[in-house]
Amino acid sequence: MTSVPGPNGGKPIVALGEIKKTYVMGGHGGKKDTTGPVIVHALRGVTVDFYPGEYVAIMGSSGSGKSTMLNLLGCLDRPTSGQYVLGDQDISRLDDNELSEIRSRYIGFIFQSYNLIQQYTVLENIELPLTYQGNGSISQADRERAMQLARMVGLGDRTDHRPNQLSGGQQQRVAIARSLINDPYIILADEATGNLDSVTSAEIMAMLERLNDSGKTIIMVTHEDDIAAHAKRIIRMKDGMIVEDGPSARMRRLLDEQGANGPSLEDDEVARRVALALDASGTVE
Amino acid sequence: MGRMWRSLKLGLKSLILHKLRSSLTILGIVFGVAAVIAMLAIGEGSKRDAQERFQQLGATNIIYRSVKPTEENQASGGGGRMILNYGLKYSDLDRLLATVPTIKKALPIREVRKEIRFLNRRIDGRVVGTTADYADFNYLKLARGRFLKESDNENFENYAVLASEVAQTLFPYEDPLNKSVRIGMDFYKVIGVTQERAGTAAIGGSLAAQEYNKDVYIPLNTCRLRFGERIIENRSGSRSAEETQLTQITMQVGSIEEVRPSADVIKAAIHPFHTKKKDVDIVVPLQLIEEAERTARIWSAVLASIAAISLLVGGIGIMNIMLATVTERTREIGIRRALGAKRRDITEQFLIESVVLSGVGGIIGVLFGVGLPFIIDQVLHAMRTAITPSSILVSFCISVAVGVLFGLYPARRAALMDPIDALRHE
Repeated sequence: MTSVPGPNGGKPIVALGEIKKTYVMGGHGGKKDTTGPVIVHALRGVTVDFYPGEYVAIMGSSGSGKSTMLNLLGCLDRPTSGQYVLGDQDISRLDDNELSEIRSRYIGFIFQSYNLIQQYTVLENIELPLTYQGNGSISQADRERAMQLARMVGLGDRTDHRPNQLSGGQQQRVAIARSLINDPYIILADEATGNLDSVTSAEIMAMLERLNDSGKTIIMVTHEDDIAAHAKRIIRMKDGMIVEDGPSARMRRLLDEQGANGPSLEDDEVARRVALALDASGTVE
Repeated sequence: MGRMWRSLKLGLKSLILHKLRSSLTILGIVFGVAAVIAMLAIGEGSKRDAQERFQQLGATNIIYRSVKPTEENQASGGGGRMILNYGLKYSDLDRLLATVPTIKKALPIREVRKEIRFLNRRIDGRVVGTTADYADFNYLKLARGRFLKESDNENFENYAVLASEVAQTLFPYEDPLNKSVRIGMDFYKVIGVTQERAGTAAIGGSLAAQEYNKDVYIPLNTCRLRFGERIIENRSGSRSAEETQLTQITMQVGSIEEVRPSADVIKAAIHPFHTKKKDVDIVVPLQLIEEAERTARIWSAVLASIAAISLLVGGIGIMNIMLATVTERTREIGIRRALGAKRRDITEQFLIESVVLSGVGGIIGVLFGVGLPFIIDQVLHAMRTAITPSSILVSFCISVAVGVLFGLYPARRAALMDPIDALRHE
């Protein structure tokens, strides 16, 4: 696997170029197929870059293409055309096995419905992505790290519990810990607070914010404005296109507080926080 | 392999999670494996039974017997007055010993049915005129005294060795040794008593069932001298007479390999002199043993294939339940794929689970399969069984193979799922 420049290399960590994705619905050519295949253009040419340390919210109504976008970003799907560079590797033409490898090493997922494995304990759930790397063995150091992450999300005393013994918020915290175990380039959050009440949502969002502060790149998909407001950059999508892309109100505030010109300051801030994060993963809480 | 071990643990876990379902699923395999082992044990048991029976005849033996010709084969059918002359002659024995070099030992036997008496006690028994080798050939063991010796035969001694039942009937209270029993018109001194020996079953048409416990053994020469060669029976007006010299000649060759060629030579040496009437017959125990083995093999194959059908049905059961499991756990498959599991990992996981199912079934099946023949044999005494270690190994391996074979399709189906669809699955 090729290495990528550090998170502060000034180079985008994710670069999408003219990404198009079309689905063919129906069109099986059977007797009852009177309409023929219907081609759905889920993405109609999306070009966007994400930089290390960014906190992006992708918004849009259903059918806007935001889910397709997330699936492509998460390497669960391949674009019909266009280029996807993750780190410095073009992954738009990789095969299923290679994409799996990318997912296990460079992507962290946080889902709306937590998606923990019910038969596994908290610790085993956190370790799961590691079991699909290399030969799948878990070293003592890996276990230490999983324990550390569990402590970080406040579940250090429940590592041997099963997901059904935890509340929704706790489960989502396990999922967050799991998304961090492989130290991914990007963390993808799909409506991460969709199943949670407002208090727990706020907790989770605060946790994501702290992660971002420590230098993690987070891309989340949501349709709720108040959730999106936590991000620093908001991308709005409609009909498979990006219709709006800019800093969030929070980001503008942050920029105003610094009172300087935007991009270079952001880089400074990122640099500071990355430095913080390097020894911070255990103390983010 | 950390992942293998994890998959194995997970397989066991999900097996325990659905106790009823898993146990019902593995029942098919349990029965299949148990049936394979039990059936093979029964087949093996009856094979050994037959083998042992024929082994007692001696694998290196070749037996010639006199056979009383059927009516139409009696060449001189001159009615009841004629003497029926048939069977093996002393000249046959001499010719065999002179012409067939592979014969190590030959045991001539003459059997006569007679009443044996002591005081007022009597028993209808079989008087066997023979030589010293008889005890070895027939695995007779002596309870008391000694068996006949070569010198007894040479000296025409009036000695008799009693079989167990004869001894018990004639001497219920006293020591039979050195007493004199009466056979026909003569008295014989008892020099030995044999141990009880189970009879042999009849083999084909040529060798009648043998009962050893009502025998009296006397030297062959004494037998020839006292009873002659003719037996005359008076039966309600008609009189029939038979003349026969030897009832049986048992020959022993040096090794198993020599049995077949020797049998051919012996046939060639005997048959030209017995062409007119079919009054002799050859029995080669080795051939019978081989035949019994062949039969047992076919029998085993039939039984095992019945058991195999049960394994097949068990395998289909596993496939069915694995397909249900895969559908049920679509979401889990999606999660694993999203977290980096390759198709191979998913295939491996479900394959291991189905192998765990069938393997556990196999282990339980082995326990049953070992227990069942034991009960049949040791507790019920219904049938002789013999469990071979290879049958345990083979049937267990088959159960694992069934798990792989029938788990492959469901596992493959799980692996080929689209991760996005799988994640969305409720």
